[in-house]
Amino acid sequence: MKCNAGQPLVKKTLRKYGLLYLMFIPGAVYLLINNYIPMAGIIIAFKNYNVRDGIWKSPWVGFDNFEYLFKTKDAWIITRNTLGYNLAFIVLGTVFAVTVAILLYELKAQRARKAYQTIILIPFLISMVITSYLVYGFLAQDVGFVNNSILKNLGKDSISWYSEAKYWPFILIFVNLWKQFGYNCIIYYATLMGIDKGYFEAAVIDGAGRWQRIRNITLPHLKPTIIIMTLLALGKIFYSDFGLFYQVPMNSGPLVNATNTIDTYVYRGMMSTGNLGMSSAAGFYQSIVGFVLVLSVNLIVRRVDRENALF
Amino acid sequence: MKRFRKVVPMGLAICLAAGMYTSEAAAAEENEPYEVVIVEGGRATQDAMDAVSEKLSEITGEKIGNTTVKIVTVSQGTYVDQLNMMLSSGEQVDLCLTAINNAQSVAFMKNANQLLPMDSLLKEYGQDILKDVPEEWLKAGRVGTEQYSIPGDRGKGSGIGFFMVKDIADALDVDMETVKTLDDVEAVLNKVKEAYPDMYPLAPDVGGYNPMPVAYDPVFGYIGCIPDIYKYKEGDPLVNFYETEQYKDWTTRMYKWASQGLVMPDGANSTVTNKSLMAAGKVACAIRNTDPDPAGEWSDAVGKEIVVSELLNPTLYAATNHAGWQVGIGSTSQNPERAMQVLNLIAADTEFANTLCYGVEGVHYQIKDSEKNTIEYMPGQDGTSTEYESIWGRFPQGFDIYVPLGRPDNFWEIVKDFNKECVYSPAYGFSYDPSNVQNETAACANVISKYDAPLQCGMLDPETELPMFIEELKAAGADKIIEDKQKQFDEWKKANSN
Amino acid sequence: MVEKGKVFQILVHFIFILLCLSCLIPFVLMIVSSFTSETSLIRDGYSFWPGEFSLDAYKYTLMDTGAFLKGYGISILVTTAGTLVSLIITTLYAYPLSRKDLPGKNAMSFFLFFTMLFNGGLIPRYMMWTQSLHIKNTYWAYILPNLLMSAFYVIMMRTYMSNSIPDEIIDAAKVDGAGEGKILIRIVVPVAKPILATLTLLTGLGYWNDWLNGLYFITNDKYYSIQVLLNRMLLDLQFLMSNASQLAGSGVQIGMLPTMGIKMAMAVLGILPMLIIYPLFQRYFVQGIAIGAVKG
Repeated sequence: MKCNAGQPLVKKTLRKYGLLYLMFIPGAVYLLINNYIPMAGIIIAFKNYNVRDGIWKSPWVGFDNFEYLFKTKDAWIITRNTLGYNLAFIVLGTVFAVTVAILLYELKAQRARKAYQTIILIPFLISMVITSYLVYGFLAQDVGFVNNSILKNLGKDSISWYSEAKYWPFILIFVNLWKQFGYNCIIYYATLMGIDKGYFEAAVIDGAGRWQRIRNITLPHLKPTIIIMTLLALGKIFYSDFGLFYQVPMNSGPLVNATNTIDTYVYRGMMSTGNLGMSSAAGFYQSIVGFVLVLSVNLIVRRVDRENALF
Repeated sequence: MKRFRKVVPMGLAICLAAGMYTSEAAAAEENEPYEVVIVEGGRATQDAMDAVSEKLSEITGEKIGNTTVKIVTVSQGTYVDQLNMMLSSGEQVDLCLTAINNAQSVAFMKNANQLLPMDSLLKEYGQDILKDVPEEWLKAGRVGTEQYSIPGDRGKGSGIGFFMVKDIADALDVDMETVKTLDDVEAVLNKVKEAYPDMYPLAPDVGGYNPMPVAYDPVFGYIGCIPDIYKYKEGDPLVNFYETEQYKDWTTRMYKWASQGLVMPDGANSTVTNKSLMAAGKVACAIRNTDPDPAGEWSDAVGKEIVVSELLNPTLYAATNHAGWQVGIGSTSQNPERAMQVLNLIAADTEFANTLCYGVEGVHYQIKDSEKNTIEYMPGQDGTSTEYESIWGRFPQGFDIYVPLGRPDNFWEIVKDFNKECVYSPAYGFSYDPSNVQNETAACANVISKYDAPLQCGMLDPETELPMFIEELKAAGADKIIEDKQKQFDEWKKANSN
Repeated sequence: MVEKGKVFQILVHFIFILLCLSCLIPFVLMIVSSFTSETSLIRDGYSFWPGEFSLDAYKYTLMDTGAFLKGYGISILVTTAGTLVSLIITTLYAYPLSRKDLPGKNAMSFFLFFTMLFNGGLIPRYMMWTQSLHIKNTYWAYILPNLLMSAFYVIMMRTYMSNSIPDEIIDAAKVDGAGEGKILIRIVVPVAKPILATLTLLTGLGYWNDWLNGLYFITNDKYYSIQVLLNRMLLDLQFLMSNASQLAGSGVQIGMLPTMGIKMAMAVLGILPMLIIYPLFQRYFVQGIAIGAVKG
């Protein structure tokens, strides 16, 4: 009975949604070629890889390639740094970008709005390497602005920024916010653009004030985007921007305890040995943690708010 | 369709490509047509690569028969990644450059099966190489007792010199002949500081490189090294570089100099070469390794006359990390015999070597003086605008090719004398395989990046920081590395003693 | 009330002026540095007024004007083509995902999301593109690997569509006899203009700024895009500086090459075109898309 009922159901679904399924095809084929087939490379993480034997025939080594990530005194530091910075970036970055997007949206002057919108994207366009030079321009011991112009004029001693780890959590968070807020902001801003003006007109007629409008219309409209952006950021929580943590602090030794993340640890460790299996292992470890995290948080989101879950 | 079938068994491609070399037994008399792909680092336009390949192919066609050459010049900054990718993905690489001290080291590449062994190939097709390249040099291309690559012909060692802008030295009445010890250097630096308060007397190179004037051999990574070649006695153990007296003295002195304002602050983070610093008039002196004709090279680059004093006695030594670029046969070569024949031709045929190093005559360079064997750039060209960057010293090209552009006419004589003077490290030719201690190596590398450059640039006080450094290295497993390295070193010595 | 509104507007302007300053000051520093002589950069560091004005950085960078213009041409071509195809694929994948009633959409979401986290590394991907699809040293090398579809952008677009397009409109259109294709083109795309404009911008930026694909897949200088050209020049310069002893005498004063200035000049040359084009997109950011009008 069920079988008989099943056949027409499939047919019916296909007839009804056939075109929608077809729409997936170009993207799916691309993902297959660009992402899924090369994923075979993940097994390198479990192998003692060498060229002659290739990916398939190199000998298995189990979890040996992962050991160096845990069997070190630095394991705690790099995990703490990676997680800590990412959480700060997610929370502060979201609050900051959403606030700026709302303020931009509330702004009445069209021309100014366009100008602001362009200008705040500039930091995103500047590469990390250049950013690191600019930061150096401000913080250099002898010729940097902060020491040379600001602290000197205040009659204070100059600070050797690249030797004092304690300032760097703030510096790194600041640089990250500065570089990313324009980008995040325009994504939120685009969402705001999609709000039906009718809502606001109705609110004005009801006599709602600015904060009420923001609280009752704007923020609820942003909620799905905020949830998704946060979910996706959680998936990358064990990753870090190499440029930010390696180039911006100029790879300065005394700062390492404040700037070493999983990615920079792996880079420093692999420079001398260049073991492909070990670097693959690090990537796999970072991915699997993010994956588990996203799946669990997504599950919670599904419970609370089915509509806005990732899947 | 055919293309897509290849998509799935990706790994297979590697195995196939790599497996082929065995089946390709030398087809004796009549050579089958074959193209030898030479991958090297540098800068060349596609047109230049094509022109050079064509010229080289003419020669191989005549001398070897039915053989062509294809040059693939990869940007130097990405050479290591690019070569690794080409070899890993099974692309044909017949001859490639290998370095000595990083992920492209001969031992590393051999362990990753990226290079083919060449002992028997050398015997059969590489007679000119065996004849021209001294045994002492060949050792640097061996892993165990098997030859895996051929070291390039260049200055084989290094001294450590004190470099100074001549105008300043003259103004301060410094006689470079008398600057021999670090105390002498310190006196000079103090003079500079007094007379030129706007200048830093001394600055390290990019990334805080500031070599201490001792003939040490890091033996692949400083943990387990020979602290002073000149004082080495047979049977001395390998030690941790950072625990040695020299290192302590050196870092203590640097810290003192830094606190006296003799060294540029933030030196470990410097992104500017000390040549540029001298050119800009920000720094007066430098301590750096010396190559053949150091004063000439530096004066050229800085644009001011530079004087040098060698700080070591004997002046020159050759450690494991000085062997420089080498050439190996890639494991994806489909005809290693032919690759070796071409490699041999570099040593045997001057015209071939000249073309490989300098490009095509009349296109990339022109003869300056055929008597003196010198050349110059084409009119209107220089090192930044030429289409084929000229690099020498990476191949066994010999010292009868043209004198490199802009060098003194007797340059090859200088190089030969330089090489005669070198004192070889007892570890020269040894190559270390760290695969037993990968975890420890990675952990130690992280510790080293935390302390080493800042200590050597005077940014940290060795009194308090050095014990912590050593402590952390121990915790990271330094002793295990030393033990492993010592074992391999002893085995290598035994294998090479008879 | 009116007064309060004005004060608020002025306050917001004030905040934005501060934000913009924080973005502009480093940018100005970058531009000024690119016009400063190398000697004064090394000696005195960066400053907002060139210690010693110099065009050397641009002279060096623009030495080969032909290659430079060609690089711009290739970048424009690649960016346009890539962005166009990318938008089509992204929209096609995102729209069905936004349809709440579609069976199996969760599986397709997962299929997409999975690629954001896991990857097999560079080498298998390099093999895929070069040995199976032979894109090395072709323009495809700029367009296809990695950049053509971003799971992140698909998810952003899906989220936008499922929140800004009420189900009733689609249902109403269906009742009127419109097919899925027609709904997508006539209803969904117009409403999705703001996110489309945003993603066009971001995808375009991605293509314009990318040099990694060029680094791995392009060895022939005839195919250099502007970013690849700039990147190669920088790498070559660094090599020249650090390997002077192994090179033949270069005939140039290596110590005086404007390296620091060149880096800044290159960044300026890479960013400027984007800043000129960006304002053109902004007319799509028109406040309050009239969904009401579609609703009828």
